Amino acid sequence: MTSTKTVTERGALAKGFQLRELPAAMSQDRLRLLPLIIVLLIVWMVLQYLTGGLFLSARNLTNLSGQVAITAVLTAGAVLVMVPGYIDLSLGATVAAAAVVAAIAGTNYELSLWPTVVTTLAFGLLIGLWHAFWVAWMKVPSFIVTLGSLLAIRGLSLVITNAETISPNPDILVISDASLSPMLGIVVLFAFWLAFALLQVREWRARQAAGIRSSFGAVVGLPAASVGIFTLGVMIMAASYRGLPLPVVLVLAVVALAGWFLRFTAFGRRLYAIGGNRQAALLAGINIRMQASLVFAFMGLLYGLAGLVLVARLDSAPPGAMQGLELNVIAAAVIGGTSLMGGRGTVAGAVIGAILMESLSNGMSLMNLPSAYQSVTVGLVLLFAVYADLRSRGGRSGD
Amino acid sequence: MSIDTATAGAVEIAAAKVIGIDKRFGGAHALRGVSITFEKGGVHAIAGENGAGKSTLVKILSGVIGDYAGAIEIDGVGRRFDSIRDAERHGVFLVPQELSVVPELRVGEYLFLNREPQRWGMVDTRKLWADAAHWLDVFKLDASPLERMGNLSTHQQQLVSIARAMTQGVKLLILDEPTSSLTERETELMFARIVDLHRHGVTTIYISHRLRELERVANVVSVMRDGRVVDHFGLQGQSDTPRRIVQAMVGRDIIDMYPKVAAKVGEPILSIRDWTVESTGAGRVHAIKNIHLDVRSGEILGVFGLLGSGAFDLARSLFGAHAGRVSGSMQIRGQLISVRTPRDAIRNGIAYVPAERKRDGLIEAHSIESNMTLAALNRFNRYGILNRYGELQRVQQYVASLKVKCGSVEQPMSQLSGGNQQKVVAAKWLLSEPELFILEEPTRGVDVNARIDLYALVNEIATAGKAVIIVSTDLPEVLGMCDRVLVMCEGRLVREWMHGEASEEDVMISAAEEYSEGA
Repeated sequence: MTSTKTVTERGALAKGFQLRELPAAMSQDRLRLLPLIIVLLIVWMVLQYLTGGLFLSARNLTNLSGQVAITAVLTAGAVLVMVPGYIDLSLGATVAAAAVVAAIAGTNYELSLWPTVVTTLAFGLLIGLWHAFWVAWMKVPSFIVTLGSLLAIRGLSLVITNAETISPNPDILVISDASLSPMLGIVVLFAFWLAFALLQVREWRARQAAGIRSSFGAVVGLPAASVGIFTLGVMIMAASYRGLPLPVVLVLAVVALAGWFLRFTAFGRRLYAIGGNRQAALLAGINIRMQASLVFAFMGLLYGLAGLVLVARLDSAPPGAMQGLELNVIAAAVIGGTSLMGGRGTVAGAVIGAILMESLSNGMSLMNLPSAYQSVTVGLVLLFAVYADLRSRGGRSGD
Repeated sequence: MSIDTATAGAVEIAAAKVIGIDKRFGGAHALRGVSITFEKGGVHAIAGENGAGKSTLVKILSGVIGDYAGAIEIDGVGRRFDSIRDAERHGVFLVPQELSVVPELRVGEYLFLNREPQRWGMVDTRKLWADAAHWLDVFKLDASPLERMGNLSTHQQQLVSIARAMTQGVKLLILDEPTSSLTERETELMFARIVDLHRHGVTTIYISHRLRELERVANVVSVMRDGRVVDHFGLQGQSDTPRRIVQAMVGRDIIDMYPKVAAKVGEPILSIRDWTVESTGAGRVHAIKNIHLDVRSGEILGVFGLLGSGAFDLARSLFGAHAGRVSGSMQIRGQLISVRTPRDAIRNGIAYVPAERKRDGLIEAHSIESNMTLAALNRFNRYGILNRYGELQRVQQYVASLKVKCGSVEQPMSQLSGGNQQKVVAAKWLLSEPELFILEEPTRGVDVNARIDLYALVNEIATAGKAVIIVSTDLPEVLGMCDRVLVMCEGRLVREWMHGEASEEDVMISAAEEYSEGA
């Protein structure tokens, strides 16, 4: 008897909620990406127009994808670091150092491709563990720990190389030059999309089973369509130029992995909790030390990976490369909806943020604008993106 | 105590008057038309239980809260303060319970913070130190003006805060629970200063729920309850002041909202021996001294204690969440365990619903579902992926059975009322399937209907053979819901009653330690 009453009561509530559902639904991370995607598309259209059709050519897109690769890989990792409320300022220095290690391993120690890869990743992991030790065990704020690395590791690279640029073993160039054949590329991309869509369907079915009202369009349709359009675009690019570049495959892999961690595992859920309210997370029995360590270790592997992509792309390892990369990565994550305070952010959003930023600088290079203008633009985009995000969330975080 | 008489014939103007002050916080009616006149030169005490509205009243009076209905008169002139600075400019100063001093500042600098004596655009340090030394002397404070604030004891910091008000021409000084963290001797010294204040033309409003103290320092007492002034009397000629105050404090209409169900009490679930917890704050060394305690299955144990009694330290230390050092032995179902972190506690079947819900209990920006499963994520972890079917079903189940009023389980917690938030927090712990529930102020900020739901839940937990500890300052709740009531005072268990044996007055009097010593 009471149960029927509750059910009708809940039904009434649910009905009354329908109209008010929209802003609440929009405030969920999934749909909050929609405006960002629209902005990205508009930017692409404008750049396409301004560059006289050059921007969206398969050739330029392949070039752009190479540029995006490093930022996107690191941004995906940065979201994992930022969601629990940490920050990584060391990226530029650590990635350059990893590139130097890769070059030295190949040239001075004559390691072949795979040992070089393993060495570089191990080096990155080591730095990641170093950060983990200071942040999680010694309780030094991550801002300071990674700022220290920014200075110390940059200096270390310069010392090791005598401030000279080292050329890598030519073996390693395969990382940026290799590409999957168009056919294989299309298969990989389709598999990527299918996996994503199926996970969304699974989520939707779990909700249906629990009796939670939710529209198929919002949970499955729209996200699957957005990701679908994106993968379709990459497919067309892959099919019409040189296939699917290996860096893009790496980005997809890292994004899938980081996104998987954050959205589908208990590990990710705990990261959000730590960033949302550290005290409450601790009292819910979450092992914050372990969580933070894993996050920084993962980030360390990404230093290595990004370093490998960098050295292959430049065919050299300048110890002073990639200055200011960390700020671009943080900006991309923030544009994509990640909060600097923690508790909020998605890998997908951050990657779109990275693509948006790299698109702007790529397009403006095509227009032969000096890089100073790119800086100005990116700075303003960051400011407006965060402002729009704050406004769209209304007064909830206001006071 | 002598009150300065004004010139003959003239009517004495009150130092301050509050007239019909009304204040709501969302649904809670904190003050319901409070009117009090504070006569010049005396020490005026305000007594009342937690949540009676004392703090809200003095916050309004001192400009901390600027949004209220009603009027304030200072020295016969209507005022409306919209900031602390505004109130201070008109001579009204609040010395809050939790002092917020800047530990790096020197005593002299702090005394004249923001009003430094200046000379040629620079701070006139010579005058600064000289003036500071003068005021420290007036207050018989044994500290150098050059000492850092952080090196002073709480007691000294409080006196410096009072001295700071004096240097700025205070007319109305409000002391909010000034003795809650002081030792007996320090309290004595503090009283001597307070009684002296009227000689400087200062009127004092003194807030405390230590009843003996009021008798020693105050001339007049106003007792508040549920946002109203329920009693108001001069202390001269009163024979049993504490009893009169207690009667006024607790004499409410008790609706029967405590549907106590006696469960079958069985074997002990929790046993602690020689439980000692070191205090993290300055002052007392031990928050808890050598407590022995058993809680049995099916039992609801109530722990009542005033601020600083150690009741909350007990709750936190049992859950491994106390910052101070804990010693003693703990057994769960006869098994000796060590609980150093909340994670250990949860693994051993202990759950903890904290009093500070927003700070410790939930993640406001996150959804109901992710808050609810946070402590039990391992149960939904299958092959490294969260089992969303199971998770959402359990969440829906608890939303329905606990009657959580929400539009959808994806709503952020910040949109829920206090009662519904508390239900989600309770569900979070139910999901972790503990043996022992520690509930701190389980119904603080919870409306009546949600309260009844929560009490029903507590009964259900006990009936299921679990043990429950309720640490609460809500006296009717403790007496209404618990099989056994313990009173804590100064880190010790001082009295114990079974359900129905104790009256609110008994409990209150034994919790206010000075009185029980005297009686």
